[in-house]
Amino acid sequence: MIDNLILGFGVAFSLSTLTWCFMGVSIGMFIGVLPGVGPLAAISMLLPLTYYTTPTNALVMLSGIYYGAQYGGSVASILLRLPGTASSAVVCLDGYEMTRNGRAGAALFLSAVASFIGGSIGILLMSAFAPSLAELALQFGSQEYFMLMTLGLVAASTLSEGSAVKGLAMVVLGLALGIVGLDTISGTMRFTYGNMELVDGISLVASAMGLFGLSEILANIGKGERGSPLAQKISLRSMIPTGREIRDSLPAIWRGSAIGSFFGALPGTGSTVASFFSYATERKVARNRAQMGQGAVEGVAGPEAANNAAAQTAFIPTLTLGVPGDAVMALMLGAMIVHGIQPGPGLLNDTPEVFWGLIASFWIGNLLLVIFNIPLIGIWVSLLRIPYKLLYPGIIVLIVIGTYSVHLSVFDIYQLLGFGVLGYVLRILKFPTAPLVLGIVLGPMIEENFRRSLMLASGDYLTFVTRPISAGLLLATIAIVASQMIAPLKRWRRAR
Amino acid sequence: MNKTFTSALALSLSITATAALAEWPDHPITMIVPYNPGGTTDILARAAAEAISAAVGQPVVVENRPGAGGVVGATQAAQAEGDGYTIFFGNNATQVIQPLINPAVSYDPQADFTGIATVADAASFLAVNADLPIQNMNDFIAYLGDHEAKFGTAGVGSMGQFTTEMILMAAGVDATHIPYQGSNNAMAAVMSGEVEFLADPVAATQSDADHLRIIATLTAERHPNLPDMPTAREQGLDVAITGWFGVFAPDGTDPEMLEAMAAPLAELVASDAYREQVLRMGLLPQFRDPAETDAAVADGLTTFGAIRDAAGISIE
Repeated sequence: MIDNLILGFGVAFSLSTLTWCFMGVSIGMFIGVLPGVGPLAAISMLLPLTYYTTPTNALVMLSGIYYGAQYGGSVASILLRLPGTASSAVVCLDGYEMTRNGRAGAALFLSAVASFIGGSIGILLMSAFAPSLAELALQFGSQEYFMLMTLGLVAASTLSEGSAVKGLAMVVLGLALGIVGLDTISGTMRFTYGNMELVDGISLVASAMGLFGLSEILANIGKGERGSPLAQKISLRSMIPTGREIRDSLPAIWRGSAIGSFFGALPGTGSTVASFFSYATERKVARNRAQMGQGAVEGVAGPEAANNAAAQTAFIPTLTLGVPGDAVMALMLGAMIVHGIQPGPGLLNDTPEVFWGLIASFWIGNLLLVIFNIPLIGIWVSLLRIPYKLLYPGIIVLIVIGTYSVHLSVFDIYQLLGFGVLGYVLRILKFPTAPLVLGIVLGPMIEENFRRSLMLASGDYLTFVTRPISAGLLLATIAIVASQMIAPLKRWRRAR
Repeated sequence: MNKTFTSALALSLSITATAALAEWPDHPITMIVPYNPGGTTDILARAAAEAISAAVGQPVVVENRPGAGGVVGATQAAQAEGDGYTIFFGNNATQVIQPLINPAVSYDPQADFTGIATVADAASFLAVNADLPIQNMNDFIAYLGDHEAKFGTAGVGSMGQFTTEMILMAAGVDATHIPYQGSNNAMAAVMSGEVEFLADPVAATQSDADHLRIIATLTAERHPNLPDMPTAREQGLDVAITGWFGVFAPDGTDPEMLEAMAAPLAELVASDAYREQVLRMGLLPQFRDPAETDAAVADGLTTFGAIRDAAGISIE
């Protein structure tokens, strides 16, 4: 591995590769900061540009955009409650509360550090165990995916503070919205009402942007502030996290990195699911779990580490098996093929300089990102000084462009507006929106894998128990449900 | 007399057409691409747009309108004026399969579109999980006769489902259809052994891999990328099926405009750089002129229509 890394760094430190890496991560970070514009749109637009360089440089740049976007994504989440990318939506919950508590600088700092550590752990695992992790990913069949997603959904019923019933209601609403569109298993159009734009389902980006970002703006309209109440002094002290904040974050970062690395390596899940799982975990185990949702550092550090780790390990199935895990990875795979590189087991043997050069460039890219990010914190925080009346119209324009850019569809903008209004109403009624988004993300996967599992097993429900990994996940799910029922039961007995 | 009349009509038509052609195009042409930027179709479309643009002297602007497996973009193109300023980059999914299986498709691929050219064909391969004792078509048919096998596809009504049903019918065997979300997930399922086999172009990306074994090329001829892999026909099963990618215009577009756009595409497909690029993507460079393109649509509707009826493939 050391020899390979030396080979890789030899490639990555060439001036041209460094330049492409620098370009990739800076573009990635920038588009990550812009609400709604995700790596998918950016990579597809810049793909043709890379035809004029070597395959390694092209891949280095395109990957830089991918993981760079994860760094940038949290900036708008923390400062404005606007998810820059879907995978940083969950960071809004505590990140924005930290901003309201006057800790914007510290939140950004922690998020940069968490991103760096998460990314580094992801890369480390990838350099050491890429082929075996890919084999592990192949052990996950439909039954395992179903159980894993169910576990996530159960854990997510605790995603937000307040009434458990309201949280559950939102999960169910999310699942219901997830039904809309063409059903993969039967090929039936559900709730599309003849509208072709709905065949692909509810837009995840539009729903996340609307429910988190736009509803926040709507809620603040007419409050009549001259400046922003969030404006805060930018001193070195306000930017550096306190010793306690660092101590509390570190365990969350380790947990987040582990969760993220795992989900990234599984094709079909990726960084959005990873960040939600990490957040749900923190709500259970973090030292400040009582403060989750009110500005707990773990709620920022965990998910940020998770989505960055996932962004790195997502390359494992793509590079070693030739099986892309999500739409962005499919695009990367296409780019490799256009450049004459065949991803798959042959990649490591036939063109080790590409594989290891790419991994070395990930290290360099992550380092560049953290070096960029920390001095920029002051500039980001000072954005909060812009009066709302100037800031918000600009943000709305950006959200609309961002949402449009995903499917190049005007219809998605209407979805965005609809979800914005829905989010505003839910806010007034004190319903949490995070479980709703998770329901939309997981609902289709849960249903599809459940039905496929039964098809594969000819309708035998025991298939979920007879497979060891699936059974283990089922036990974990039962344990969570049981622990949630025991606590109120004890309270009730004590009250008697 | 009849003949004279026809040629006189043709002459007068061509005079008005030439008048229209003299001014065309005086502003940029829009090419609607019904998928996201960066994908296979988009890459081919951009090459075609560039070639047409160079020949007619006006920019050809690619407008991506993804959604519903290409139907959103195709519907928009079908509704456009046939004035030579809107063209469409389609494939056999938008022009053949979707109109056959999806009742919500509002356009008629033959009445609403007219072919300009095809620029590439897609070859499928039959691949099985590498742990199975299946080395060739004979083993495959014997295995399916003895076992209850399952096959993965990119979804209900995908090219892979049609191809597989065609194989099953030709071989007289049976297997269970398990749909996945796209070709890559279906391929991963074959690799992990969740299902036994698939028929899809994506299999070519695993030609030297440990988990997947390609056992037949499903086109009429062997594929240049896998010259040692015999076709299904060579192995005694009469199945040959090809997908294609091509440029279409809304109905009513002047035939001379069609020719003016087809000519540079013929040159493009003949060029070495393009052929090399297309082969690298696992596709086959293949030009068809406007009439042949229309014929390919008609053939497809017949062949796939028959498979649809026999296998009962539909989405509702």
